[in-house]
Amino acid sequence: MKKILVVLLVLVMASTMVFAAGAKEAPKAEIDLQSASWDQIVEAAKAEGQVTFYAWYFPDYFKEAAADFEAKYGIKVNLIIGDQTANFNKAISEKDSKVGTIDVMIVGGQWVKNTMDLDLFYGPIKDIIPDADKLAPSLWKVQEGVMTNGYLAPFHRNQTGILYDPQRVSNPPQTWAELEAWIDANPKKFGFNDPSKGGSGQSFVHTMIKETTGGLEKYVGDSEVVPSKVANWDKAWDWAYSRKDKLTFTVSNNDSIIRLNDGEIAMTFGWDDNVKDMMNKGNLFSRAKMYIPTMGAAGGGDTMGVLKNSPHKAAALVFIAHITSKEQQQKKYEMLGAYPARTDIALSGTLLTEADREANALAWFPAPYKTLMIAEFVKNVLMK
Amino acid sequence: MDKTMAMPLYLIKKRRIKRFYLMITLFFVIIQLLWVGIPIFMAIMWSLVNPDDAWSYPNLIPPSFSLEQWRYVFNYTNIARALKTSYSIAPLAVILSFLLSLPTSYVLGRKDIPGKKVFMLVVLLPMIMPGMVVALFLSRVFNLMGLSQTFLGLVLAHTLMSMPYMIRVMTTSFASIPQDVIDAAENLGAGTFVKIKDIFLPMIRPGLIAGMIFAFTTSIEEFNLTFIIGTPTFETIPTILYSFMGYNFIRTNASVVSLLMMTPNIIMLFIVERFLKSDYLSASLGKM
Amino acid sequence: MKKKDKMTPFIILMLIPGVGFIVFFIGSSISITVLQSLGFFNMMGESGFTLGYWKSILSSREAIDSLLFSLRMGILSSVGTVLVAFPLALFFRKSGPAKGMLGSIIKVPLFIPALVAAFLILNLISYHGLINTTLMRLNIIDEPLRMLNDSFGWGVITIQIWKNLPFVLLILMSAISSIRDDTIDAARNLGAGYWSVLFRIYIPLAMPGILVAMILMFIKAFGDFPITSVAGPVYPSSVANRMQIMANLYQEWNQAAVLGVIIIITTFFVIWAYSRFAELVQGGA
Repeated sequence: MKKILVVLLVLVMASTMVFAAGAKEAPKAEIDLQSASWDQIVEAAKAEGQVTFYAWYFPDYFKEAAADFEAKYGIKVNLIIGDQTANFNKAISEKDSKVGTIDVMIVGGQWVKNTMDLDLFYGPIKDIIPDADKLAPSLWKVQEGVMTNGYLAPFHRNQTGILYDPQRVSNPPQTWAELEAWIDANPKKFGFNDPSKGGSGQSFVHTMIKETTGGLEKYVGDSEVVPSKVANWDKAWDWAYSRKDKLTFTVSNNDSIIRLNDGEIAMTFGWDDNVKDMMNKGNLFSRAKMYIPTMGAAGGGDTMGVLKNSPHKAAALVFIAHITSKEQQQKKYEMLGAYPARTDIALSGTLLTEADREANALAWFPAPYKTLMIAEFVKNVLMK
Repeated sequence: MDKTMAMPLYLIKKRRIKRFYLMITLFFVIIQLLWVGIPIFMAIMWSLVNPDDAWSYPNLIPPSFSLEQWRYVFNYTNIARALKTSYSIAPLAVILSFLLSLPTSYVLGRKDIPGKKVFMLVVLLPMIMPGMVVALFLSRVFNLMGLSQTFLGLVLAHTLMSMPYMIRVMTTSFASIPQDVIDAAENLGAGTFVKIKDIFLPMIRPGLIAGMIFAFTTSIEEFNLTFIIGTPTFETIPTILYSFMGYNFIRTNASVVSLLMMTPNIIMLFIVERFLKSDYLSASLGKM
Repeated sequence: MKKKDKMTPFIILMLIPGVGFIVFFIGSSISITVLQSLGFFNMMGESGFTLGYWKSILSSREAIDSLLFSLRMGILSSVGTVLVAFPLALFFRKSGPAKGMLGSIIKVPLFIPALVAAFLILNLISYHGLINTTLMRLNIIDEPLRMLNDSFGWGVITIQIWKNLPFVLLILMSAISSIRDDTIDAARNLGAGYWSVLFRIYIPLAMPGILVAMILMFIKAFGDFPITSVAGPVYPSSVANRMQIMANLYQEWNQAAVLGVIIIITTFFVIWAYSRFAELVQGGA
């Protein structure tokens, strides 16, 4: 008995050491980044000499952007294209170390709320980045329904919409009633992913709630779920549950696109940047069309943040400024056909038209509703 | 007819059995080629898709072929560096985990010590631990000891993750050595060194080879811990694989990386098999 | 009968490189997980002892469904792979023509990561994949079968067997190789038939190997994340996946830790059950 107690005690002590290791103070930059001039920051960045950047997509663009950055500033870029979850796990694992290894990383999806709650980022950086006012202003404030308050810099916009095969869908639906009629007439040919596994499925459920329970206006500005406002969500769940046999549930954003390419489904909800990337690489037939229906679909974008314990903060800020510069945003758009975050770039030949976007793009409702929406969808539709 | 008549009955029987075995073997070879070959064939097809001419239903094979997907992976990822790192770590991790596991496996396999069942469970923990615990907490242990961002740290991490296989498989091998063989050797005056060299090592050989193969594949595939304590200084192949196969799943690029990852392994497998064949078979025939 | 050995300093010294090394590295990670499940070491906010997280998980149907699903996958995959591999291991016991080649081909999936294995098999069972196309051409079916993400988990089990057959085969072959020919000849001479040689000699003597194969296979399949997330049913997710969803999507870090502890305890329990079963088989022979 004594022995067991000793072992337990040692384990608890070791845990404390591991978990509380490192004082929670961030490394100080040579200069005060909040008050320094941009030239001083660039100077400091050059002195730091390198920057480590973590992403999980677009290896082609980022590799070239990194080369341009090195040529322009003489600052070396350690570019790591990892996996979404793994990148954030790394940041979280290192959050209590004095000096981390990541300087700047992409933030998106469910991780916006997670990392903001865990207080991972240095900021606000909105007043430091030159041209910050040229970047999608709403995305500086709110991303995925989470208040980000100028801590995360927008560099990329994306939008969900209906993706379909024009050979098999002749009159793509615009309104909820049309979609409903199409699904009833073509069972199993409309698919979307489980909302706990990707944003495009979340967007479909979001639109479903908007259409079946009376709009999204009532949720604006709430920081907590107001029970009376979600009381009639049953209607949405009943709609989906009663059509369970006519819908196809997929397991990720890309799975939906893959199944469209395979001919299993003819219509799905997808992200425009994802669709474009799959098309560019021969993973989806190029005849596929995408649009935002008039009933609306949610959109957003991805941002970049500087880690609190980043060892090269000045270089990280200069890197963000580089990626969000007009020149780089133009280049990214030309290489990938993905939307820039800058609003001062003329676009043509995109999958979704700018007019579509202005008229029909929706903003997500606040994050607490989104979390509830996912949990309730699983409970009331998938589980039953 | 005459010939058969002249042959003793047991020879005819033996010949029949031989033919029967040959038929079964051929049957298995065909099944195996389909079972293993078709999925890999699909990966090769996906890796050759022309980006401008998508492979979609109803095409059974890509409508046109191109090496563009391969070019993409070589141009835009650090695949060469990653291959080098992965294949430098793996052999060291295999050797280290063998050396560390050997004494423990001997004790767990040959001695009936108190608490043996607990030890047998404890050595499995590295593989039971959920990936999230490995990623979030175990990585902190490596960080705390100054092992993150070091080559040694990665070797130790891979050793740790492959030890459950090594210890458990070798323990079983040690346990299955018949006591009478050891007694006989001892009666003939064999010392500890002779016993290890002439009895233990040859008799645990099949288990040891299996353990080493498992340790090797574990090291090559380890992602959760390696990504956190290794990158950005060291990048291994799974990092690149996950960038095309995790959240952002792109079949064409993923196929290229998978093929790049499995080819050296498969070549190595065939070489090792050829190299070990004589010993391995004699061991399996019981002629020690 | 072997007598009980004592924990001499020599034995302790021998255990340190193996058991010691492992405990040194992972002891604290496991205890952090346990403590977090009880409300300590919170990722955010105040820490303090509570059983509330255990209560929430044990009363959550999603968590229980995930646990039961993963248990089913673990048990069926481990039993299934051993059932397929054992006859093959017996077949490979004697050398024969073309067996070397076959032995090498059969080991190929061992070197293919689980995630890749899942993707390769999905290619075959998709709606217009090779299997459906073949069956349609042969006029066996009129409408493609929907085999992706089936609700029972057959897809997951198929991939587990495909990927891990060589793994189990290697273990079984090394176990069978220690059975000496004279044992079998002796039994044959005493008039034992094929079946009784199989059940009285091969299986009991290979039991330690079978047990290790089943245990390692169970751990792999029960704790699986990648295969289930691409090939598993839409609902429920695997318990490892559920753990990640709890932490990353709902920010319920402590409840995720509870699931982590449940994964470890459940695995230990199944290992214990498998070991008891092995003892019974060996004892009964």
